[in-house]
Amino acid sequence: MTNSFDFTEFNRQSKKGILILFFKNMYGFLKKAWVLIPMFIIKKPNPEKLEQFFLIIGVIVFSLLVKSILDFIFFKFKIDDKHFILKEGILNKKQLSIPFDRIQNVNFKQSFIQQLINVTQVEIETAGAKKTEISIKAINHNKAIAIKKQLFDSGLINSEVIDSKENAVKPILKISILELFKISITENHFKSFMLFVGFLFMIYSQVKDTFKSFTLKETVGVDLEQQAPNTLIGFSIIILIAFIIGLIISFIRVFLIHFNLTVFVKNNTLEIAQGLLTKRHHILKKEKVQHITIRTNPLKQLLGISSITFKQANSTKTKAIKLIRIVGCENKHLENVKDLLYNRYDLSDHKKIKPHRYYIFQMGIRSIIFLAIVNIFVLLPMLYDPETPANFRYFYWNFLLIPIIAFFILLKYKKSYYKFNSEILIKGFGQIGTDTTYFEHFKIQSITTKQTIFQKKRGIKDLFLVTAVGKIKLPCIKNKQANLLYNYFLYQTEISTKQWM
Amino acid sequence: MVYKIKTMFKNNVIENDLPDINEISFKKIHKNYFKVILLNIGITFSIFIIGLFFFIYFKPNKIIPSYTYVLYIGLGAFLLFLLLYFYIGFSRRKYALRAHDISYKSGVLIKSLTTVPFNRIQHIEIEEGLFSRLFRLASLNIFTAGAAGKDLTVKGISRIEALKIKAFITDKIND
Repeated sequence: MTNSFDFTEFNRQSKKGILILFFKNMYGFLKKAWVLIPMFIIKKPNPEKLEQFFLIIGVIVFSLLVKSILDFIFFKFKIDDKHFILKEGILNKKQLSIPFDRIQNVNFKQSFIQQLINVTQVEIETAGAKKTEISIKAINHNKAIAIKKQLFDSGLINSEVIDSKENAVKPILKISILELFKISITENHFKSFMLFVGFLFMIYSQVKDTFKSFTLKETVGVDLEQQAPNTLIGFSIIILIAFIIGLIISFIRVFLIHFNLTVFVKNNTLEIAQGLLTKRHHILKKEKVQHITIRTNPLKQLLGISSITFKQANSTKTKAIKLIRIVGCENKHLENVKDLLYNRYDLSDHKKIKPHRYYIFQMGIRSIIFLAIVNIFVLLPMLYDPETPANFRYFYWNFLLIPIIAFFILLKYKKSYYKFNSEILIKGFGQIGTDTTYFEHFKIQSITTKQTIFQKKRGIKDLFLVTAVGKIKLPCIKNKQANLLYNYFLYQTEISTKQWM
Repeated sequence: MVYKIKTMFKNNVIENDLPDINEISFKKIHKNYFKVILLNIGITFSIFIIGLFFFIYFKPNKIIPSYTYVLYIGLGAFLLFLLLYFYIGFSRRKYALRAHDISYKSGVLIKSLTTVPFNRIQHIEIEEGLFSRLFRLASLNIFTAGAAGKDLTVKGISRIEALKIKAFITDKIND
């Protein structure tokens, strides 16, 4: 049976799509009408009023259903002369005609409901002066693939040949459930978790002390020293619980986002499919990738895996960024991805260029200022509030924090470096984790240097590469090097005829 | 360190004499723009002082009377410092136009230099503020696909100059 569909005549979505449209319309209605709901709940349930209430609900549901059917009937699309043509709208009719070369991306998505009724959502993103995003909410999966082929691989005529090619291409990466479990443990959620714990801790001790001073007035003679060990145990238990909760949450997140992660490399594109409740199928065109960041951490290194984040520019007008992440990559997968995106990316024979040592000092000064501000904010309320005795025990925390901060600053400096050749720049950074960003010179949008008066004395400056998806900072570089890089990046960008997006 | 980079470049068959942004001469912005800055500071401060005055006058119990003099002196000192800062910084505001890019540098405590290549420019805006218009000055705003707002702004050039530059760049992009 040939999987060829005729798109030269107007097509409608799959009939099951009416259900999807119904839910979409209902959701939209609820979003607007939610203010009215409390009105009905507050009033006492009166049997007559109840009948009226159900009647109203019935009318609403019926009209939403009718609207969904009409939406379905009036949503038509076809492919004609290298254009994708879409007609939609009941009262307010719209007709869109999009030439193939303006189509940036064709992605598939399947929400939980869509998976249940076995339809696929096709999203078409366009570039150019008017950014549009077409979303076909419900299509039979094979039809979706056929559409994608026609739009994306425009130029390739024989659909049968493409079909067999598709079956022959093996994924370069496929993650099993067990591997997913291992990955979720290694995810670096510890950092955000630690911050969260620290924050909880601070609040807890503040609250506890405030209450302590109140109980002192009421029950004189309570031995507070006895309470101290109990509070310590209390703290430890809370931290342990928060830790376990953090672990469970990160496992759930990884599972939901990366379930069944499969990566294909085809025709200069990377196809990434993953997701449990919401299945997403991204097609990453090589040119659209602005830069990639490879992340690893001590736990990940034990398992020999890293994660790659692709930062993709979406549209020139809306400055929207797309972040696509794949996890559980072994070295060979990293090589595959780098092979696809870059020509000469092996800079292992290049020496790492470190930032000037002043960077450590700069980070130190900023941390001290930050600590001082935090201390002042803790001190001021205490001095002004006559009820809480000025508890200088808080400032002992500084003795603990300072060596910890110093350790992290040194670690950050250790991980900082950059390397470059005539094609790409590699930036190394991170603290607990080790991150590496690969970036092609000609993809800068603009370039900036900044130099404080302290940096000027030492003959260094900060370099910022402004890309379509964010700034890449190279801190504390010697002036001569910075100027050379500045001129070189501009040169590469200005002579380049390559598509940066 | 530096000579190593030069040898790396030699190996990669790139000319050693790249066009150098630091060798070109930058042009100062129009001197009348300083008056615009003064007017802006003046208006902001006046509003602030009037607000503060009303606050002190109508809520005498909030601030002890003897402190108000300190407050005014402090504000005066702050104003002077601000004026000095802008005065020093003003002569540092310069821009430069090359065949393929536009640059702007400025800064007192933190010196910054930004360059935008023409082939990355999405669109150009000419903005005329209320006070700028009095002196026939304008701002040139350049937008790229870069993640944050305006990528390069040159404030305080004559309106005619701004239009000329916009036309020049537009011409270059359309080539």
